[in-house]
Amino acid sequence: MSSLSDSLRATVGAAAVRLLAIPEAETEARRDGEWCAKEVMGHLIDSAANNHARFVRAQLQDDLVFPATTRARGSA
Amino acid sequence: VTQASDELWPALVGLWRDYNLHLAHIIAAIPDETLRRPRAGHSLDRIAWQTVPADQPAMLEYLIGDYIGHLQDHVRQILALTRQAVGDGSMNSSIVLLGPVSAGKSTQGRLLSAALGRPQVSLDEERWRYYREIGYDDELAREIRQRGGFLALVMYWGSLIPIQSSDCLPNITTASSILGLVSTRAGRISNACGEPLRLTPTFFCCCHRRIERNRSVSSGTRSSSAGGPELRLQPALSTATELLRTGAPHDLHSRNDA
Repeated sequence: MSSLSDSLRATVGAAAVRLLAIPEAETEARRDGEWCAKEVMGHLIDSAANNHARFVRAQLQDDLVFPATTRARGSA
Repeated sequence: VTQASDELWPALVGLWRDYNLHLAHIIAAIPDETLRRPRAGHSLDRIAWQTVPADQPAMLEYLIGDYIGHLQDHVRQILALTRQAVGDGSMNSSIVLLGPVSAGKSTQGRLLSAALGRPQVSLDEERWRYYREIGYDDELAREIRQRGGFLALVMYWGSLIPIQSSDCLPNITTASSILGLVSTRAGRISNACGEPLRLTPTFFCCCHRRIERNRSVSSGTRSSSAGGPELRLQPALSTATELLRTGAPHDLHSRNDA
C-alpha cells in the first residue's frame, strides 16, 4: 500500500528541511526535566529501528506480538 | 537507549531521515493482504503509541500508521521546543540555491518556498540590474544572439565576469558564465547577511565540475584565496526537495532561467 509509504516519505522529507534549520546549540537546550531536541531525535531513531524489526517480522508471523522496548514515554 | 547528545544534530537528522526512507521502501513492498489481515494475537495494547485493546484484532496497517503518527507528534514537539528557546529559529536563515541554467534552482526554490512558507527571491532580477550597472549593451546582445544563437549570448554574458571577479567569493567566480555571476551576487548577499551559502549536492556537483575545469584552465593566473563565505553542503535539503518534487511537474528544461 503506497499511501502509508508516501505519507512517511513526505513527512520525513518536509520535516528534515525544517529540523536541519535548527542551530546546534538549540538542540541541546533543556527545559526543566523535558527532553532536549537531540534526545527526542535519539528516541525517534530508536523507534525507527524497533519498528523496522516489527514491520519485517509482521510479514513472517501470524500475530502482532512484539517485545516491548525500554523507553516508557512515547513508546511506539 | 541512545546517547544522542554526543552526536551532531545534522548527523542525527540525516540518519533519522534516511532510515525512514528505507522504512518507506519496506512499507511500499508489503502486500495489501498482509497489511489488512486482522490479527487476533497482538501486543498493541502495550507497545503502540495509540493502543488497541488486547481483546480487539489489530492490523499491520494500523501499526504502521501509528508509527507515523508517533513520529509526527515528536517532530511537532521538537519544532515547538526549539521555537520556545529563541523565537522561530528555523525562519531566520537564508537558503541560497546556486547552479547553472536548467539545474532546477527555481523549481526547488518554489517547492522549498511552499514547504517552508518563506518567500522566494530570484537573482535573475538582480542579474539584469547588475548588467545595466556595468554597461551591458542590449543592442549588442540582440545582435550577438541573432548571429551566434543562445550559446554566443551566453559567452557574451561570460565575458562580463572578469569585471566582477575581484568581488567576494573568488573561488566561485572562476566558474563559467552565468554561474559565476549569480554566485558572486549570491556571495555578496551572503556576506551582507553574515550567513554561509548553502549548496545542495545536485547543484554543487554541477558547480564543482565547472569550477574545477575553470581552475585548471586558469591555474596560476588567479589566486584561489580561501576567503569569501563558507560553502556548506546540505545533503538533507536536497533529498528533501527531491522528495517534495515527486508529484510536482518537471519543468527543468522548459524555462530560460539562470
